[in-house]
Amino acid sequence: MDVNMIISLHNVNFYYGQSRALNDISMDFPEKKVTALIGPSGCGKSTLLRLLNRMNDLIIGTRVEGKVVFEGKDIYADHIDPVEIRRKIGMVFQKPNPFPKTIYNNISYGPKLNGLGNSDLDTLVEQSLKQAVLWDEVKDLLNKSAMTLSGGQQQRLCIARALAMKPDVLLMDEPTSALDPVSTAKIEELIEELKKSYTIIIVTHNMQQAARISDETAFFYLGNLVEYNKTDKIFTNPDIKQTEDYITGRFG
Amino acid sequence: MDESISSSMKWRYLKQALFFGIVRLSFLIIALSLGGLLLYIIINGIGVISWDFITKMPTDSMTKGGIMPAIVGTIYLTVGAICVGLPLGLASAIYLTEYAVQGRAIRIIKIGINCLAGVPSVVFGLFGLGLFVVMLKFGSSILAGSLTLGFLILPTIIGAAEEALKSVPQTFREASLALGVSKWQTIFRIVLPNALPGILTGSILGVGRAAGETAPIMFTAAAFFTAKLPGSIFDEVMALPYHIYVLATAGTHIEETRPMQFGTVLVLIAVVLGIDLLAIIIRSRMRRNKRW
Repeated sequence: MDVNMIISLHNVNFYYGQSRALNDISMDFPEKKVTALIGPSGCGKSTLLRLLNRMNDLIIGTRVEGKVVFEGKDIYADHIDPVEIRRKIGMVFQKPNPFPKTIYNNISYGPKLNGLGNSDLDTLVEQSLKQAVLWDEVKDLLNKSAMTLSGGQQQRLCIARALAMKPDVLLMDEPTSALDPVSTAKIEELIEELKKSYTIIIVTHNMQQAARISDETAFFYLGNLVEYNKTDKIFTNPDIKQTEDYITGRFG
Repeated sequence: MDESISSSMKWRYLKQALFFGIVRLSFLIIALSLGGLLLYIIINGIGVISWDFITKMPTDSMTKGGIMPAIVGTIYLTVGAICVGLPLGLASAIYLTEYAVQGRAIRIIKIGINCLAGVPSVVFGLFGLGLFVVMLKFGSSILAGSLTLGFLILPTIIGAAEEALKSVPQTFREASLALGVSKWQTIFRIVLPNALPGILTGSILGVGRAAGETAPIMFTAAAFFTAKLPGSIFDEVMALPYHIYVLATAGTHIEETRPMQFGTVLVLIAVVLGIDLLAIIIRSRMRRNKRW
């Protein structure tokens, strides 16, 4: 059990204005594993995910208490630049959101603005698309608009786009909820593959999905972390009654 | 029972027919008056339009010859107004929508900008006279006129740019920021290119207004008559709207120059529509890549 913990939360509270969305959360995310965050709508799982790369900063009137430690540093400390954090912690959103640019430019966008030379870009684009298992489908369409791709392809493009930044962690906010079953299966396979090199934290509404792809599962309810355990344990023999009720579909 | 239902239905259809009738009539009135106006101008003005009319200097105390300097002057002033209004308006809109913390102060500023759009253009003219011509000593010049017109079209441009910026999906901004791209880069690389067609639309409206205004340039840029084309931005220019005003009210032979007045009006309309058309073409080309 000597897994390295890449992100650790220490007594984190989160507020939207006056209302508290997360209550005293402490948890560690293991490196190069898939951690699933599950729970009913409004339980705070997406809030927690977006807290990890400081995307909640974009919402006016939010406030964080406690510590979020990534690579030994509290990412909410005063001197930390959120831009720097987001370079290392990538994100894939619920709805595929490619830029209205070419496929190539979607991938090269991030690296280019972070000062990567043109010579390496071609290789990087190919590498990233291959990692996202999209290369074979789009290698002849690199100069076509990304908007011409199907929803599932767009989402894999978004994953490739995030991977092109060579992040340490990949956050996924219900990445398959807008996709059909075939595309969903492809993304799940991809996640299996990616966890060899990346730490993946995924929010999902789909419990089967959490059971299939994750190593660890955290169950949230009303802003509380109810149970955090090995996925096998959570789905076969959870410690807490509430978890069992949710997983068996008694509420949610 | 059936009787009352069918009679109430009839009444409803009648109301509908009445309403559609009124709407159709309103449209017809507008279309007819617009078409009539254009037709009247064309019929009265087309006679004097010739290559010489648009390329020659006026002669015989402006009762003969062409209106070339007025066309050139209007183009200078319009381009100048865009050069002033677009960067300033765009920068303001970016600040207002992307950077400013939305609150009471920003709301008041936005209301202020909207009020500015309703200020009579002669007020802008006097403002330009006071600030640019007298205080900054630019004199009556292309520079002073462009600045005045630039301020005049500012509210239109800010308003349109704001709308265009707001219409760029938030998910684009999030996607860019999540890649570790800074806010400024996100605005410059993602938000602005996608907002550009909308911003251009606003500029089109602004340009149309700038090219056709008389009052703001009366005190700040327009000359009754110049013997030659302007040599620098500190020179006075003739301009189409002011030329029309002069020919129609201040000339010595108002009746005699009537066809020339209509001709000049026709040219002014053509210039404005031409500028609009150009911008519309650019915009539709940009829109071709837009799919979301």
